[in-house]
Amino acid sequence: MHGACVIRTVSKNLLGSALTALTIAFATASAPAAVAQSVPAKSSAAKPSPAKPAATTAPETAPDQKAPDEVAPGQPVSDLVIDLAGWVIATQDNRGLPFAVIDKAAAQILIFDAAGKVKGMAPVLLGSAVGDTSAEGVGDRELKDIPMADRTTPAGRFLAGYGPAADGERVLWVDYATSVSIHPMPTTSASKKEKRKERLASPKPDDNHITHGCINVSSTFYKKVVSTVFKKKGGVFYVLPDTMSPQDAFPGFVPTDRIASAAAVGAQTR
Amino acid sequence: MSFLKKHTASLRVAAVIALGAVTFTGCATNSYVDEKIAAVNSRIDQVAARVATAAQRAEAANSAAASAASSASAANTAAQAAATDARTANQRLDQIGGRVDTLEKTPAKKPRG
Repeated sequence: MHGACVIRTVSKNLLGSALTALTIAFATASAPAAVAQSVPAKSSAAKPSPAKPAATTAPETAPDQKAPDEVAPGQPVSDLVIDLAGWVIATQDNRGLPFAVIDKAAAQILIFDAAGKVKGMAPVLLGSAVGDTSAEGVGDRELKDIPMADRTTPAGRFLAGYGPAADGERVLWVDYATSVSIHPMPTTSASKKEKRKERLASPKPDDNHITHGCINVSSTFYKKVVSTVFKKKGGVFYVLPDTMSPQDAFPGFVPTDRIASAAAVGAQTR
Repeated sequence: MSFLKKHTASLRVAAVIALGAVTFTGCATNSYVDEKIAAVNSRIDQVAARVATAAQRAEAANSAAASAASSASAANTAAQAAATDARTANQRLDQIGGRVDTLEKTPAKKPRG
C-alpha cells in the first residue's frame, strides 16, 4: 500500500515534469520559426496587409530562411563570387530575372531570385577540361565523340531558359548553342562508373570536373531551387572563368581590387 | 476490470516513461535540427550580407564612374571604359532578350551530360 502510494506520487510528479518538458519542447521548437519570420523586416509574409508593396530601393539580399545550403561545411564562398553577385544586383545586369553565379574553381553554384535574394547554394559537377570557350560544333556531337580537351564548361554570361531535349524531357539550357544545360546528376551506369555521386558529395572541388560540359547538381537541389527559381522566365547564368580574366568574361564588371586601385589612382590625381 | 484496478499504477508508470521517452527524444531531435538549421542559415546569412555589401560598393563605384565620365584623369578614363563596357554588355543582353522564348521552339537536342 505504501509502495503503491510512493509510485503514484512519483508517477504524478513525473507526469507533471513530463508535461512541463513537453511544453518547453513545443515552445523551443516554435521559437526559431517566430524569429525566422521576424528577421527579414521587409518580408511580405510577416505583414498583415499583403496589398502594401515593399517600399525599398536598396537591393534586397536577405536570404530565404529555407534557402538550402549543400556546400560542404567549411568550404568558403570566394570574394570574386560575392563581388560579381553584388555587381549584378547594383547594375541590375540580370534585367529583372533570377540569376546564378557558378564558380568553376570552387565547383559551387549560388542562386538568387530577381531581387538578389539568396535562394540556395550547392556543389556542382562541371566539364572535365580546363577552358572557358566551347569548340566549334561541340554541341552537335555525340557525347562519346567529344574529345577530352573539348569537354569544357564555357565561361561568361548566358541567358538560360527551359526548352525541349532530345529525350523528350525539358531541360534548363544554359547555352543551347553548345548544348550546355544544368540538370540533376544522372543516375545512369556511366554516371555510377564515373562516381559522380561521390564526387558531388566530396568536400574537395578538384574532383568535381567530370562532365562533358553540362552542369550537374543534386536532384534535391535541382527540384527545390533550380527548377523552382528558373521555371517561369529562365534567368541569367554567370559562369566564372578558369583562365580568362573576369573582366573579359563579364564586360563592365569591376572586381573590388580594381575598384580600390582605381579609387587610389583617382585620389592621387586629385 | 479487476486487472485494470490491479495494474493501474504500473500502467501509469509505463505511460509516464513512454511519454518521457517521446518528449526527451523529441527535445534532442528538435535541438539537433535547430542547430543544423542555424548553421546552414548562418552561412547563407553571411553570404547574403557579403553580397549586400558588395552591391553597395558596386553601386557607389558606378555612381562615381558616372559622375566622373567627363573628366580626363586616368581614373576617370578607366571608369568611362568600364561604363562603355557595361553599356555594350547590356545592349548585348537586351539583343538576346527574346532567346528564352525561342528556346521553346528550338529543335530538341541532347545536353552534354
